[in-house]
This record gives sequence, structure tokens and C-alpha cells, in this order.
Amino acid sequence: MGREARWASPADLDAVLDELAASGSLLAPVRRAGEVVFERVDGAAAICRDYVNTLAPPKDLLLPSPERLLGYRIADGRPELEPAGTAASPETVLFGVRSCDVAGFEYLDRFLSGEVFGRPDLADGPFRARREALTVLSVVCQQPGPTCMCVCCEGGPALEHGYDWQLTALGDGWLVEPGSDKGERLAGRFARRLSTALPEAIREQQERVQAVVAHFDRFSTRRVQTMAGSRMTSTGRLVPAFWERLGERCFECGGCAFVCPTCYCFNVADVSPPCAVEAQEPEERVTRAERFSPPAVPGGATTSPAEGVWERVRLRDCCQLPGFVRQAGGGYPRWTTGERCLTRFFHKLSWQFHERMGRLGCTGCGRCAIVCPGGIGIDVVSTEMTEALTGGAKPAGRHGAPSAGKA
Amino acid sequence: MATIEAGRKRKAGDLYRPWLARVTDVREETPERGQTRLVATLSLERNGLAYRPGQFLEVGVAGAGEVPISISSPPGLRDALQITVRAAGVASGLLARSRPGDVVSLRGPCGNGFPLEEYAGLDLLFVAGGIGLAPLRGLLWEMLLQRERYGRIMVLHGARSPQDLLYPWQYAEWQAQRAEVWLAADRGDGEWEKSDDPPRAVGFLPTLFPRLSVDPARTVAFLCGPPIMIKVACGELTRRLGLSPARCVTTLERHMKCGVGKCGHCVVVDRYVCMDGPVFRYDELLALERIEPPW
Repeated sequence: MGREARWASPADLDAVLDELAASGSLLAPVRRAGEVVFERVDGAAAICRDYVNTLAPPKDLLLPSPERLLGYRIADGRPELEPAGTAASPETVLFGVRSCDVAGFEYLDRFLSGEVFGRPDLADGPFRARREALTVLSVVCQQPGPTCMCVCCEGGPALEHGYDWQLTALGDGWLVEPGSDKGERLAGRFARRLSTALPEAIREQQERVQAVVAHFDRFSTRRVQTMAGSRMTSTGRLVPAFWERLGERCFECGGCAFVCPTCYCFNVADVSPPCAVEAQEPEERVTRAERFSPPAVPGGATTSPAEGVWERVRLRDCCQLPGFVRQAGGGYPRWTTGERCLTRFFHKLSWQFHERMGRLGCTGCGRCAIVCPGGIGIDVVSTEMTEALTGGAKPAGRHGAPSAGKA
Repeated sequence: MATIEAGRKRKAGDLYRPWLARVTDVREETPERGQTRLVATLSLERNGLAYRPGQFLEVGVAGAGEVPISISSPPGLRDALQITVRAAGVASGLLARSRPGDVVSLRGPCGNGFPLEEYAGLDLLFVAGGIGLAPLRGLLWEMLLQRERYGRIMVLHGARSPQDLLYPWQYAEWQAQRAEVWLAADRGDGEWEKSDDPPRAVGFLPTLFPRLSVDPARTVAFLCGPPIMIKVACGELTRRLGLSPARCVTTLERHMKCGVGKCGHCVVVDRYVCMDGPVFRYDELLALERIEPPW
């Protein structure tokens, strides 16, 4: 990377975290009701150290839902836009994020910056402001959980880029790898707590990472069959019956997208108090459809929107939900859950999106495998694609390399 | 008092912020009757907005949200923007019932638009089903304004009934500019089919194709309409009239929220209709069809 790795003793790292917490906002994993979540902490002592990963990815820090996009008021039937605000995002340090989620950040960066379309002028302003104010201190996973699959997806356990600092716990201290100019500046700020890493420390880190990769079977038996998934989705070789069978197991709950570190889709709605986003309890929010009496016939007469203050908000959305592609007037391009499964898994696994986004749409965090009530996490689906490719031969061997299924 | 923000200079990254524009004129195209919905053409203040035919605007109705509506006026029309709206949902329902003086919000222009320069010297065949004529009207007018650059211009327009045909008040103007207008209605009303100016037929739009004598080597077709019409008409044009799929240019319609390649609603296979489209060639759609039919 060309950047010098540093070494910190456990006490020094704690001192760094304490200082970061004291001087600004430090978010770190904390155990709450049996789950690990990212929360603001006062110091290193409050941080949970023995966790695999958080249930929800930290993308909510960058793409909160709901998020206000615009404010306006309706007076005498006419809209007046609120002046454009310059909402400054507070500087935030995120400690303890896992590599799979760092890869997810990179994926969101590439898409929401407009780079994917070669249109940096169409960068998502609210996202970018938050992203620039976020410092990512990732911690290399040395004890992956039973649903982890990062080794299949270039999502870990350690990364080459995407983080500001990548920390690895060694036997007697921490290896600190700055991965960006921001990370380098941070290392400079804490120069007295960090020393140059000895070659032994760097070697130890590499050995530890390699050991996790080599013995991944001990932690998790699940795999994302990226090769089979890519071959089968990219070329349209999966017959509609495959997708319909898959769709029959989809509950249309949207859980997969809400916990996926690379899912970015959102819906936009105009709401007015008491449904305004800020300072309202969720149960007090009323959807627009409830405020408006919708016309008896679509396209029929509607009442005029209420005068007063309105907000345009965006909310997390999911391509598995039935209304995702519904058009006014009744157009329904993806009516069945199977068709929607195609959209989702094509986005995650296909070569077309891989090429456009610069990486696979899955980072192997395994969350969809945990939350999906129908049991169609990406490991199961991609394995079924392998079976479709190889004619039913079960994948076997390390990292799920399909056996020579030429039966 | 509504304040109209002058200009649309947008800070980088402020892509969700619209500007306000007044509705200057409203023309009812198709009245509401039974299950047929109101269709109206709105003229809006243009304020110097630059765009290409085929691009669309995110038109916002206060209190109801934004809807993607294609621009149906040519860039050559200096002072106004025109959009044709069918009252399909809440926002478009309010929009179609606008009155002059109402204020809407606009964002855009979004999408790729038609690459006009590629069509110079060719014969042009417009195939529009129902409200599908609205996105093509801007292109048609722009080409009529530069009439000498193109060969024959044929406009085929079909709708469910004669009353649903769009822009009947403009056919004479188009014909005056040497455009051949052909009409089709799925059902006649007993009177309409007796006339033959413009020439017409009762039936599905592609039934008109055999009556055209087009030179496939020098013709480009522009299609817009319901998905099934695009599929059938593209198939007929390529198989029966011998047009190359790359010379069948169509626009896709999808539910969109952002219009700027962020919200993910309009994705078809790996294409974002709002950024990579809405204008696609038939050969591109055939490639997509191998994975997910775009119609």
C-alpha cells in the first residue's frame, strides 16, 4: 500500500479510542439485549470485544432511513421550497467495523458517487457529506461466525483498501494499517501512541489472516458460490421455473435488503406532520395514503393536499417488496416473487454488475442467511445455482469448490 | 406568495432539490369517461432549461410527490416546456387537473434522450401507441423544425378508441410539414373509420405496417407505447419490414423515484432506465431479454 504500518500496545489503542471518544463522536460495537450494535461510546472500556459482527450493517450511518431530502410548505395551494440547507455532518469515528462492511461501504461509494455512470456531478450529496465525515477503523476478523462467507467474495477477513485504519489483534498488541490519507493523518495525530510496526508484526498479521482463510471450514460451512452464480445469472441460463421455485420461498419481507451492506435502494415519499420525520415516534407517523383519501378509481378525483409544512423523505426500499416496481396506472413489471428474486440475485452475483461496480454485489457477511425466514440466503441460492449448472452434483471440498460434477 | 427561484443553478450534490415552475396553459387531450383517464397537456415555464428530445423531468406536485414525465415539446420551442400527463395515480391525477397559474416543482432533465445527429438523412417512422406519442412528440417536432435534414417522416399513431388518439389538433400541422400521418384505433365508433384524412384503420397498430412502403435500408423507427406493443411492433418491423434491430429505437417506462441513478427502482437487468435510458435500441433490449424480458 505504500503506507507504513504501525503497532500499538493494547493500552495505547485504548488510549487512542478514549481520546477519540472524548474529542468527538466514537461509534463502536456494544452488546444490547444479546445483540451487538454500533453505538456511541464514552471510551474504550464500553466497547464489546468478543463479537463476530453486528446484526445490522453500519450502512444506516450513511443512509439513514427515513432521511429528509427537502422541506416545503403549501400556502394558498402553492409550494414554497425551504432554502437549501448546508447540513454539516458531524465528524464520526467508527471503530470495530468488519471487513465485509468496509467492502460494503466501498460498494455504496462507487454507486452513490455517480462513478458507476461516469457522472460524478450526480453524486448523492447527503451520502457524500456523511461519508466524508466518517472515519472507518476496521478490525480484522479472526473468529468468523457460522454464517460468514467473506472469503468467497473478496470481503475479508482482511482487506487491501476501503478502510482508514485496518487493525489486527496480534499476540501482544495491535497492527495498525492506515489505508487512506485520512487514516495517515489520524496516525500522525496519535504518533506518540503508535510506533513503526516491526517486520515480525506484519508477518504475524499475514500468518493470522492466512490461518483464518485456510481454516475457514472450522468457522463456517456456508459459501457463496460466486463462480456458478455468476455463470448462471449473467447468461440467463436459469429457467423461469428455477426462479419461481425460489420465489415460492420468499416471504416478501425485505429483510435481506435491510441487512445487506451493499443494498442502497430507497423510496421517496412526501409527508406532512404529524408524519414528519423529525421528533416523531414511529407510530405517530401516518402514511400519505392515510392522509389522503385515495380516489375510488385510480386516477380519479383526489382531494387537494393539506396546506402547511411538508417534507420529502427517502426510506429504505427493497426489490423483493411487491410495490417496488409498481407503476401508477397499474403497470407491474415484476409481478411474481420469482421475478423479483431474479432481479435481486442478478444484482448480487452477475458479471454485468461485477463489471459495472468493480466488485461482486455480495461481501459475504452472511446476514441474509440469518434473517431470511424462507431460507433463501445467498449461500443457499448460489448453491442451487451450482446444482443447476452441474446437473445436481452437490458442491464439495474446501471453499465450496464444486466437485467435478460431470456425472 | 410563491417564490419562483430564478435559474436552476444547482450546487454539486444537491441533486434532489427541484426548482419551481408555473403552469402557463393546460389543454385537455382526452376527457375522463368511465375507465378512461383524463389526459392533459401542460405548458410550463421553461426558464432556459436545455434538454434533448426523449429526456424526462421529475415533476413534483406539492403534497403528492414526484413523477417522471417525458418532455413532449421540442427543444426548439423557446419559451415553454410541455408535458402530457395521464391521470394514473395520485400525483399524476393532481397534475393532470392543474390549472394555469398552479406551481409545480421540476428536476432534470433526466435520461439519455435520442441521439438526433445519428438520424440525419434517414427516413423516419414514428410508431406510437396511446400516450406513447407524448415522448415522441418532442422528437417529431424537433425533426420537423429541421425538416430538410431528414427524408420521409411517417407518424403511425394507434389508440384503443378514436377518442383516445393524442394531439388530433396537430395532425394538420404535421401534414403541412410533409409528415405522413396514419391512425389506428382498436375499435371504431362507426363514424371515425369513414374518413380517410389522415388515413386510418381499425385494428392493432402493426396492422398498418403492410400499407407502408418503407425502404428498410434508410429508415429508422421510433417506438413508444405499452410494453406489449413495443415487443410486437419491433418484431414486426424487423421481420416483416426488414429493419435492422439497431434501427428500431424505443423508450422504456419504469417506476422511478430519483431519476438520477440512485434509488434503484428502474433497474432492468443491469441497465438503469433513468441513466442508461429511457431510450434503448431494440438490439439492446433483445440482449436484455435473454435474462429478463424488458417488456
